[in-house]
Amino acid sequence: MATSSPDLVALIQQLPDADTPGQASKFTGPAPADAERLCRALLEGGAESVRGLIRSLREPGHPEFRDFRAEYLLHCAVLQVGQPGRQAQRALLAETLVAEAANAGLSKPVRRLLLRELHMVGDERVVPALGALLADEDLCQDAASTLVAIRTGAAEELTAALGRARGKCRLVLIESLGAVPSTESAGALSGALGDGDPDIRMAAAWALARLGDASAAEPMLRVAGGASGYERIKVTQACLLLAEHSVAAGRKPVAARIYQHLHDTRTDATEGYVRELAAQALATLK
Amino acid sequence: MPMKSAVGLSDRRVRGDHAYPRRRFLGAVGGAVVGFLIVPRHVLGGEGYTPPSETVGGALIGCGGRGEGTFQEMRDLKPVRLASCDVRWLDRADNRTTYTDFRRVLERKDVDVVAIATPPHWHALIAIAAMEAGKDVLCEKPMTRFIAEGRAVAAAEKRYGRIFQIGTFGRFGASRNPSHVLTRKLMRSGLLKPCPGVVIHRGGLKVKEWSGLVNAKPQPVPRQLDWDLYVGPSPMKPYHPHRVGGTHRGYWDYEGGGLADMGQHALDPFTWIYGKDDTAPVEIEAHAPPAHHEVCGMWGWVELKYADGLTLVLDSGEWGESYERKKPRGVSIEDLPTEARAQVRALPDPEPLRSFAEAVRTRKPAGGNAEAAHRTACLMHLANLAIRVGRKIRFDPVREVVIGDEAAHRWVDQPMRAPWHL
Repeated sequence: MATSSPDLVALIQQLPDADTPGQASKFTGPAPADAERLCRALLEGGAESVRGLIRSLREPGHPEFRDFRAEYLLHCAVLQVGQPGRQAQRALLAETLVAEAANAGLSKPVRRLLLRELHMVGDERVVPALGALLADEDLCQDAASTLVAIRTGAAEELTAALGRARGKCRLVLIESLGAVPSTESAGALSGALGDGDPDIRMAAAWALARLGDASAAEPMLRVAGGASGYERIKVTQACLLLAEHSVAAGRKPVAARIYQHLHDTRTDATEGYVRELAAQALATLK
Repeated sequence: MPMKSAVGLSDRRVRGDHAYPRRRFLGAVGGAVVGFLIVPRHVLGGEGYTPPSETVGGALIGCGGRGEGTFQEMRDLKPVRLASCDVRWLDRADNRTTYTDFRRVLERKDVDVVAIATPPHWHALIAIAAMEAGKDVLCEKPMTRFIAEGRAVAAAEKRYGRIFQIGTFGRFGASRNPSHVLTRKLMRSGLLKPCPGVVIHRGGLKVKEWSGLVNAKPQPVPRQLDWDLYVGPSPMKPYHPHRVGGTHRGYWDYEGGGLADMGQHALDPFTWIYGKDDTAPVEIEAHAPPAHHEVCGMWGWVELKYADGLTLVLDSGEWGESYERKKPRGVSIEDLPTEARAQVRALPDPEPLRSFAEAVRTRKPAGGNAEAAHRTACLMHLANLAIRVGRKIRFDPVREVVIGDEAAHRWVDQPMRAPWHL
């Protein structure tokens, strides 16, 4: 790695090495007090210092990769500023991380690493910038995962991106909307129930169940009834989840409709357990 | 799936049950429709032929080091092995008896019980999917990779009325020890407040042994390995052989170091003896250097305190100074006033723990059921969480959230890579 700052090189070199060739790895970091000192020095340099460190990062497969210590120092800083009460430093680090995650001059593996570090310290301020990465096939998974971890404002970005998403990113967005449900996404998710890709259908059913969207009950039951194998198992599970959420939301008729349908249609002995739990649930609704 | 090395532990055996009739097995949930499936004659063999209705169909998912042993833990059911699944079998899977994709195994209606011995990042997802498919599950330890996974497994066990047993059995032996029974009754009575107990577990947690490589350079994926399916719900990383085949334990993406590997064995008796099968510590503090973001590294000790005052200490003996804050201190009925001792002694003994086979037969929870296994796994996860964030954390055992530290809480429920979700 080539650092632009002599201070950064000095900081990195104070970290212990690991992975002695020919020996089993016994990774250990510095003493906590030493780590605190090194991170403080890094953060006192402000955004420029953090940016310099980030731009020195190389993934292990890169010809200029030297060792793990630069990314480890960055992670130590993330751990430090993640502590409650260090909001100003956290904001500085998060905003620098997201700006560099959007930097097309960095490699995709490094940008993915930055997104994973943001998983711990990102907050609503970085959400719009993360949303801008949701169409990138190489970055959408890590960007979406970080949005899910942040939660606040995530559903809006995910929903907005869903309309234009294709391929892998579309599946990622639907899955992520299951983790951070939003009524705004209900229409798009319902449409996805009719997708040609079973992974999309299963993800959409789960997301609609998590959302507790009562209008999805009939289409979900139809998808489950028409499916076989693993898809039938998972969409049936989504129907049961929707029923549970409906009960919790005070919409017992929706739950009763789902349970009754499953009870009446799961007549094969191998699905008797579904029929039975539907019967038990119906009894509790009376 | 890649292997797990054999772990010796006394009292690992599930005892004393006979083969369980398949027709009863299928009618499992409280008098449900009784089923009768035809298992192909050829899978049953000639001599000693068992009628199809008496046959339990079994599958093993994850056929590495611990795989066969895990399947054998179900032997009292005399399951017929119908399917074996491993992501390293791209060159040999026939999708009839050998598979690479567990989903195809779970689709089989003739499979009743599933043994899971994959690396732990798959345990929860496969266990949940298996129970959703109506199967009972015996799952290798550690149960999970993070806390929310365990809660989801316990929810699935309850929702589907399935049997789940974790692949460690230390609590079975503990439950037959009269002094442990009395300790459990004492702790469950709620009369010992504050609890002065200090349990210190020293060593045996393989911290150095299961540390990952921090400078590992990507290597070509072996042609027989489905790397995408191996990685599954974890973040996609370049292939390196150290990430599979037992050494996967050294990476947060797949396990959680020696603590996760050995902790469920070490702590399974603890949670039973001290009556902590339905709760978790409220304060957790670690003595460790800052953690690496991918690799499980060294740590010294972790102190975990329960709301009643009981303290559990895990002292690795492999880094830094050993734990000296408190001395070990047992709990005794003598800690109570005389009249309270009588109250405790009068309490009924806990129900004997059911083996996996007995649980399958009776449709009552196994001794190492999902809730109990989850609470034991929580000890490892909370300890690892304190190690990873490098600060004291407070935990709400009811809501299962980290209190007052939103960044730390993000490791309680981690996003999964599509198309996987809890």
